[in-house]
Amino acid sequence: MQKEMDKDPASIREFFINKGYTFCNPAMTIPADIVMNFMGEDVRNRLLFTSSPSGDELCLRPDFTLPLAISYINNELQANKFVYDGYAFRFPSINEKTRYCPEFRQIGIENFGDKNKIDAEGDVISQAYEILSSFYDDHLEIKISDISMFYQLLDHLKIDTNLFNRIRRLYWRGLTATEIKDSIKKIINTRFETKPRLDLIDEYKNNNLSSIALIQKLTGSDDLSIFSGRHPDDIVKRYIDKSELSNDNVINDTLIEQITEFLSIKGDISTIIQLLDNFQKKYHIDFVEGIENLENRVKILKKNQIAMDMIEFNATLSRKVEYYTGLIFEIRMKNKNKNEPIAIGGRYDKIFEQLGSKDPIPAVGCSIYIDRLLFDEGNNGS
Amino acid sequence: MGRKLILGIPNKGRMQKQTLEFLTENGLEIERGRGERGYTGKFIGYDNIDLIFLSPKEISLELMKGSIDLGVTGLDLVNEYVHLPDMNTLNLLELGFGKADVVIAVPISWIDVVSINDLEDVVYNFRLSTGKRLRIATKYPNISRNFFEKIGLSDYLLVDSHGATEGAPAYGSSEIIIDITSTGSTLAANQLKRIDLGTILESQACLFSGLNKNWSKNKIIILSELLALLGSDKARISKIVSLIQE
Repeated sequence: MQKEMDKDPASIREFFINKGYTFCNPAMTIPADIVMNFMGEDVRNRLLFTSSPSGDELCLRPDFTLPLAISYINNELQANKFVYDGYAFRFPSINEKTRYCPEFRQIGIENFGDKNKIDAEGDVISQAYEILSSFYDDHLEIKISDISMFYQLLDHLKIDTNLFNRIRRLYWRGLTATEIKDSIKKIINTRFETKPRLDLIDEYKNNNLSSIALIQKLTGSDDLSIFSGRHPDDIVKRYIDKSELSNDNVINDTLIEQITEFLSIKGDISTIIQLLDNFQKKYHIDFVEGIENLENRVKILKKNQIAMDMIEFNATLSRKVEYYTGLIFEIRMKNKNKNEPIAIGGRYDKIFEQLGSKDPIPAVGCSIYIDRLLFDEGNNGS
Repeated sequence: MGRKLILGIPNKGRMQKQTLEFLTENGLEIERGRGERGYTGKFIGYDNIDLIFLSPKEISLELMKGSIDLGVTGLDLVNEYVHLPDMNTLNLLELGFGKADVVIAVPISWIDVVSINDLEDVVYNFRLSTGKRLRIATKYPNISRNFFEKIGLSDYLLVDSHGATEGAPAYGSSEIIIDITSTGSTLAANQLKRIDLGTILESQACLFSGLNKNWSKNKIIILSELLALLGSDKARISKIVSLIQE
């Protein structure tokens, strides 16, 4: 299935080195708990684990960003812009047609610490597009989105934490707007089999009932000893959260409507600004910064001779890892939406704080999947 | 391979007793080779079917390997032990006994967990607050994994359990369990409850055939006769025959 390449993928690495990125080779294994906390569930299901002689659980790197960020924060690296080239490890998902083995080669770049965020983002997209164009001529398209606008919407809607996390997880899974809408509806509608006991909740809130007593009353058994690692207070808190959420159908309907409407926003970059502006006015939400950032990124792409009809905004664009905070983009074969993207990237400014850094460090990067690049199907349209 | 059909029968316990009763009701008397303890036998008056007595788990495995043509075993065991059960076996007949569900069970004290949707939140929060994955004790790792993959839940850790799975949360070796239950009384006695959409499989004893290349014309004729004896109608039998020949 692999095409004879007239160009060696190693030329991609050379291209980035010439653009000022330092070549580096990050650690192959990472402590499993760190990986578990950063990767989305889709990736968590497909990780390769091993254990050290002392019994610590380790994970083969599922990507390069995480081990690089860990080295960076430990001051093991002397530069701020990196290019890597090597194998990462995940069992293939059902949709992947380009590989059967758990290892896959990635060449990619990271830009850590650059405070001119929009310029750095524009550069990453432009450079990835430029080098991939030399493999594909002009049969590529760029899909772009900004996850911070979606998070902004969820904040604006003031939904409870569990549902908030749940919606983010649905979004990370890369579902369509309709699929997410159906899932949220299902979640809200199946919250209780019987009506919540508001009388007991009142008693509890007035401090007349302890958590355990509330649980005992609700279950009708006074000898419960098994809580399986959850504190009775947490159990009761979640019970009350649920009861409050399922009470208000009107709020739930507008909530679902707004999320679905936002996630349906997509189109050519020329029309998208208007659509986003309509949305912010309709729902009184402040997208000014997000829109301005989008316009500025596009300006840089334009300056770098990328045709505007190659760029599409799509609000459902998402990453299967949880650390993205702003820009998300992918570069793919034109009109091959069923194929996985050839390159993906974006901004992940919180990664360093989550790893223990006191100060925020901006981070933006991009990965090229070499197995997809070499995969014949898309290349000649057969 | 021989011209005879080989049928695996459970070799002990209630499933054997009920299988034998079912066969007797349908006019099939068993004669065991070398007396009660022999592991082979035949139906009196039917020389073209060999019986072999195996554990229900072995019956599932041998069906997949093709060393037996037919077998009576639990749907749960076929789903657990056969790789791609729908491709490698065919469920010919539900026998109506050995009914039990493979279910997710959580502590009764989890009053906020009513459905699988709740469990998803709890599993996610459990990892965030403890840094560990929620442990699920089960003797059905494959069934469990397939189920969770289908609904998109990860972040759990399966813990092997053989026997007394319901006790695992009580002695702290897992947080929740996946196990087989019929009346639910063992679950309740161990402070566990079922949840909505948490029924993974409704199991019962079934007659299965393997889907391998051993099916000669002769064997298919014997199978059709056997199915007719067991009460399958003509349409059903011809459907089965066409599926086996595919």
